[in-house]
Amino acid sequence: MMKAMNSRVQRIAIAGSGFEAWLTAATLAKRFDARFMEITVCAVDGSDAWDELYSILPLNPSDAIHRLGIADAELIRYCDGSFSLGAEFSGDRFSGEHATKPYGATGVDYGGALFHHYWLRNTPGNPVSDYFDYSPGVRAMQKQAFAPPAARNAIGPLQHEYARHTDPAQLTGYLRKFAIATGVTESLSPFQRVQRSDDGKRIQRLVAASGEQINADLFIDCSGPQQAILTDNNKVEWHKAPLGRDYSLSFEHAEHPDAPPPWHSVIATENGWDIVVPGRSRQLRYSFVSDDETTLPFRPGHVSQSWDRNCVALGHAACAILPIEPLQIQQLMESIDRLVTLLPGPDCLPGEAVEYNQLFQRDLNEIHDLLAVHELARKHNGLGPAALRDDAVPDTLRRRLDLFAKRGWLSKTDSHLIPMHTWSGTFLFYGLVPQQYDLLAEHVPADVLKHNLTEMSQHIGKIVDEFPPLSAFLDAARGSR
Amino acid sequence: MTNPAPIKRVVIAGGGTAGWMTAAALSRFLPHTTDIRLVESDAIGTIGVGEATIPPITDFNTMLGIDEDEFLRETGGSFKLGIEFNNWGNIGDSYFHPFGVHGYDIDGISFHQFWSRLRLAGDTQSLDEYTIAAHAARAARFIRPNTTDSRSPLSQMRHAYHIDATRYAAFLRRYAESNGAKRVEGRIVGVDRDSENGFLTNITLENGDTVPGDLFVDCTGFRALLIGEALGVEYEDWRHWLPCDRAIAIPSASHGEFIPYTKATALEAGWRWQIPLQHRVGNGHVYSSEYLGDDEAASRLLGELQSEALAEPNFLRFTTGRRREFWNKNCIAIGLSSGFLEPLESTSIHLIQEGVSKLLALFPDSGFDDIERDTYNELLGTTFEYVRDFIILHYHATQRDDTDFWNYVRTMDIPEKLAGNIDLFQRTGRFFAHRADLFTITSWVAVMAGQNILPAAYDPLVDRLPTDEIRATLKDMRDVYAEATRRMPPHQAFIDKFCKAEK
Repeated sequence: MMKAMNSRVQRIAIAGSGFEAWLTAATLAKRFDARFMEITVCAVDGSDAWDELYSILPLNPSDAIHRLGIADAELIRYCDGSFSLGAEFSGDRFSGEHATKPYGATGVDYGGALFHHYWLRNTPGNPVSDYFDYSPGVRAMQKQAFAPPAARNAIGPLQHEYARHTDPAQLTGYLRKFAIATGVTESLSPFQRVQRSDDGKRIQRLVAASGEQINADLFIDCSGPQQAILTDNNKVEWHKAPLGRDYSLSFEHAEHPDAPPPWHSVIATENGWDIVVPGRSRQLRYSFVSDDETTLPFRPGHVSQSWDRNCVALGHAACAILPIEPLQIQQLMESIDRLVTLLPGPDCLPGEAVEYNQLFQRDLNEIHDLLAVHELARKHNGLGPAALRDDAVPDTLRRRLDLFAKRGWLSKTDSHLIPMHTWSGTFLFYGLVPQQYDLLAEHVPADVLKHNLTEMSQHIGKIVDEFPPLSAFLDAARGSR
Repeated sequence: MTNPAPIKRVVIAGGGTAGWMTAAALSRFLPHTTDIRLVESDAIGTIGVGEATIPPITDFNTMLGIDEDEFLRETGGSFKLGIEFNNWGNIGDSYFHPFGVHGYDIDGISFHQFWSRLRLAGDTQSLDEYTIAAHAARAARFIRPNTTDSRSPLSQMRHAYHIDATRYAAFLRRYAESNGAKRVEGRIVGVDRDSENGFLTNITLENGDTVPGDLFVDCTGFRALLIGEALGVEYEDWRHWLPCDRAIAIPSASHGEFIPYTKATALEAGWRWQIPLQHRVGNGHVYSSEYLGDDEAASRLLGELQSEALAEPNFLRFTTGRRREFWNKNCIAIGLSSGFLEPLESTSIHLIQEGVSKLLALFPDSGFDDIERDTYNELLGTTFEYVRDFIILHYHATQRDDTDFWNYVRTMDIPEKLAGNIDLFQRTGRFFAHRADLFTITSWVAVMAGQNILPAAYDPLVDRLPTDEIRATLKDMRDVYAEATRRMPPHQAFIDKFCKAEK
């Protein structure tokens, strides 16, 4: 009989005190049996400075919160939770218009062509708002109604998606209790320094201010933008996001004026972005301003390598993503999931790190391109000819924009974080309507297509009519167990 | 600014599988005002690449609105559930590369990780036992997939076809001509180019006629009359990784059980294929001329035939590799003119299909946008390279040391990415599938494990389940596949009932 050689790291130290650290600790403890793996969280002062940016949690198949077994009702009850179906965009930079952009797909792709090609073929010259009529999320937002996706309100394969809004501080506290109950150890004395092996290549232990030493095989840096242990381990290079400006960041909590709407607001200003996230009873506003040096600096970008030898940086220690789209949290959850999948042996050979870093880089390239679209649209009031000619557009994005503008083409990518419908939805949202549609959309006769699309729109209307107002849904969910 | 005019005239140079697949798809989707002409000569034979296909061919047929039963009747075809590889790891080894998947993933963890754990604990079941395709193939049974109930093991069925390439081209010709494509008979003797921009303008035929076009599709096979000879686009030679450069094909009479799979048997300096059709068996020997003479190769193939030969052997020469650009100026190479990878994984028709579907998706106007061309070239280049690496894996992952040929391929340098994938799998049992890769994790794991690249470890998450529980679950899977197979009709009976060819 062959002997199983399934050695893996036995001790993991996580540096950080905020949401990133406790989500990582809770996930590792839940996925691996904490009886056989020592997981220690070492406090790092100030590592929760940007935790507010995790107030929107979009739901996706690899959602770490759901995988922990934490139901939405718990979030509503204990974390001032509410629900969202997308974003409402407004502001001076968009000619004062209000428009909503949903989570999830619009329409249904079929026959090898994406839905927008069928829409273009069926309704040439129609305004983009007509396209979003095929989104259940947008239709529900118009009525301020909400219901979670369920088999009974699916329109064929079309299903809306949603996000949870929570108070990050309350959620962090919840995750901390969860992790400790699952076997994670907490070291309260704050982190002071890293001690490395004699050759200087590997981290051996974290040393706390009290002198306590935390030995581990693998170290995870969740210390936020200060990169407390990653920078000590190697000379990381920060790659600035294309079209991403340096911002100052401030937060403001306030009572909610009315019942929360089922969206968050993105306001494009002359100097940056304001984002308002309504919870059940309070709302959080974060402001990104480009000419104010009095608040927290925020430089969109990412490190060159987020896994180096036996140190992995997660969350804001690895990347800073402007929260116009809730991608920072998705990137964090994807990274934790990937780390679970790629958990190395105690020697941390480079194979897993190479794969991890390639995937990290691939995701960040996609993310930065998508956020560059928002910056470009803010700069030019949409994606008109001036935006397409902007010299600052990175080559990869220029190719996407050109191919979409001309023929609605979107290349498939390996990144799970940004599906194709997000690209088409964002481009169309900003008024970039393709000149041609895919020839494959011709395989349905014109009258059949018209009938199908009319039926789809009517069906969406009927389903959404059954959704209750968000406030009623929250009251019911809060009371249920 | 006005938009460039649409393409009005498409000229497809060359018939055969590539030419007629292109003509069929373009005639189906381009506006009826587009003039589509296919130029071919009855005097020039076609190679008829690929008589075996892979599952995406079903998408191509769906796109064209082709009925599966009619397609099989017209091409004398049979169903295909995968490929049986014999003598590849060691002489005497046999494994099945199935269509579909291995087993069921558990808690989001790939099935093969559970199989690896049991194997490391001493269990001896092969991966083949965990796929409905291998069960059905070896029992010579077939049924179409169950697409409505994901709990059914039949929902895991994926199939492709074995087809008579000559009949396939004729079938597609009828389809294309009924959609308005026109066939022009004649041998191509010249290609004219615009003196200023170098774009192709006409092709000239032996009888002096010229065929003008706005867009040209080069389906002239290895000769590559347009993309190679006229436009001078170079060919990238991959023979240092894939040294086979000859093939001999010969049909033989049908015999024995009517199996729904291809056989690929490794020989001393290459390999031999067996493809069952309704009216005959396709046989071939792919080999390296550096290690084996043509006469020796022919006698080896003839000696292995299990039934009467129905024709003289057809000798083919090829250079494995790809055109550096598939789309240059107003010319797009599809089929053998674009590149060649030996038919070990039945990818020839698929590479044509990829070329045609990407051409449709990026169909140009008379402005011939550089970005569209570059995107096409990048997409097709990536597809070719993933397929290349997968085929190299079959040769390199061998323990055979019985001939100079196997010693060479076993010890040769391989592309870095492939070497990295093999190393990671061997060390950890992990494999990461990429979207641009035609072959899924099932395919890679089937070939690596089938050729004795066996992981030394497995995903640590598997340890959450007790070994006995995993063992019981996997036994259930084997039983379910076996029972589902017992309920399927024989492949022969299924063909006879639904899609029997006239002769």
